[in-house]
Amino acid sequence: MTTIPAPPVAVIAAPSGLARLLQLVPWFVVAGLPLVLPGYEPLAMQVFVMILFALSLDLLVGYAGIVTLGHAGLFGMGAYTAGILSVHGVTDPIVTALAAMVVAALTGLVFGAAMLRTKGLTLLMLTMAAAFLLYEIANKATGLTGGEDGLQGVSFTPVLGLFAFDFRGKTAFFYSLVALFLVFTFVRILINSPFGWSLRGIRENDARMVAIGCPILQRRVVAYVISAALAGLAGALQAQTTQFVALHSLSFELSGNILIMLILGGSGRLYGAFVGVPAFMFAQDLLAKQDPANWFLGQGIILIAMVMLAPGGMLGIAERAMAAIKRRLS
Amino acid sequence: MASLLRLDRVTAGFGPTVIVEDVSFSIEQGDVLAVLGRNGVGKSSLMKTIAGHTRLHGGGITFNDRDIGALASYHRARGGIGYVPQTRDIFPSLTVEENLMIAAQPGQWDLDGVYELFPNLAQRRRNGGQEISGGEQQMLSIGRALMGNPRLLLLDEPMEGLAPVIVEKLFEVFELLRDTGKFAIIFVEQYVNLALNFAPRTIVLDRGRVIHDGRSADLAADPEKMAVYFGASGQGANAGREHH
Repeated sequence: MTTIPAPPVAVIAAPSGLARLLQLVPWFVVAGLPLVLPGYEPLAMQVFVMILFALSLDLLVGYAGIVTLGHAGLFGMGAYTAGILSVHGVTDPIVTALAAMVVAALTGLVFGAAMLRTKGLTLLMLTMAAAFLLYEIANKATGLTGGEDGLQGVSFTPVLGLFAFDFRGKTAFFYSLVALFLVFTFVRILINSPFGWSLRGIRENDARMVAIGCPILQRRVVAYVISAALAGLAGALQAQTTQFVALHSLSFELSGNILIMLILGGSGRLYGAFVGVPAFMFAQDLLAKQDPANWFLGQGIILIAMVMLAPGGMLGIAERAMAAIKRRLS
Repeated sequence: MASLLRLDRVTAGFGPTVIVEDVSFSIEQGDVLAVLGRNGVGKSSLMKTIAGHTRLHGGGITFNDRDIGALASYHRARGGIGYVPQTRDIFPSLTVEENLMIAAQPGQWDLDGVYELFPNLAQRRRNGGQEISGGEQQMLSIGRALMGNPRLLLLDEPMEGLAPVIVEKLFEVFELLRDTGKFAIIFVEQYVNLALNFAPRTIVLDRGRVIHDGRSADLAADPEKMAVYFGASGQGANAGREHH
């Protein structure tokens, strides 16, 4: 996991005027997809939720240099918080989503404050252990979580009291798209703020950041808590849009998959999540159709090839291609 | 008035290893002190000890009337100790301006002030930390320390590996900073003659201990001592260029 490359300088320059408007175009295109491709809403909202989750991970892996194999722990905390609340009568989607963010953030604070004093492999193992701990608690507390059967009877009232979650997933589609847009905007502002720069500084040279007066443990914990809140939001969206919470949402498999999706797209690049998640899900779908028994093998080969040949992920390949074309032209 | 910085019988090093031994000196605001000595005698370690990057085995350090011996180094940085390491340590993925901004503390020095001091950096503000020359990196490292609005500036071999024309330029900046009288400056330098010219006072280290502490002019006028401290061949002394 040490091969995650430094992102290029100023990937996203401060946009202004027309450029800012143009950046909104892809969002409108996506929002219009249900008109062109009806029936794909459930798949699309799954993708949005995973992109949001991958974005929260990118804040840690790509910017703060904190590699974690336990991010599903925070996702699952959000999912279970929203799900359990709804089972017990708190069914407003936005209220439960906010509650999920708070619970996930507090979980992140407790684990982060304890773990982030360590670095490298130790930290990696601790993040895994923390997620396993949460998984086992959810597995055993069947009265609260439903255990291995998953949490049944999850349902939510209409968003803002207006838009009911419908069978075809239209509401869920727009609901998760809006959430993703808000989170993306927030993360973009965050990483281009002095706080975001200091995270990159810590990743590149923590000793130097200390020497210029930066309390690095505190910054890392804050980054972890923010990331946890966003992961918790992704979990809540998952629970709300699928009306179910499975133990899988806390699993190591999910922690690993989301990291693979991010690396596939390119970490530390903000748009890496947008490329990596659909690519992963598409490949998963394709491979599972080809050979349902052994599709993990194909996934493994793709990952190895990516890490060996394209350490910047798919966006890294695109950046190198652009640079080569520029050199040709000049 | 109490001294700005006082080291009292400081013994320090890395882990159990002792590198700086029984060092005592103090400096006031506006003072400029050169730390000289052969390679490996503990000059850089002394700077790191003041900045808080070594383990203090004995003795005390007071800065601004405050005991800072046990203080974490980021607190020292915020308290007014600006440290420019030998390695410069520019953050490669940040632009020049971002490198400066992350060190900002409220005070007299801000972006405009640093850009006025180093016009090169103003031109390169949008460039990445890796896309600038060694001289510019050194300017950036110094500028970044200034952004923290220090009262004490620690410069560890700021001229190392730089072209003579850049060395000239940087010394002009150091003179400017010195003449404001707002900083105390401690610097380690291999160019002995340059250092003796620039700093009114010099300490010489040998094996972690202070073997000389006095006026630079007196030392420069004493060829015997110069030979003992810096080598019979004048190693270091000749390596330095005459200033002015």
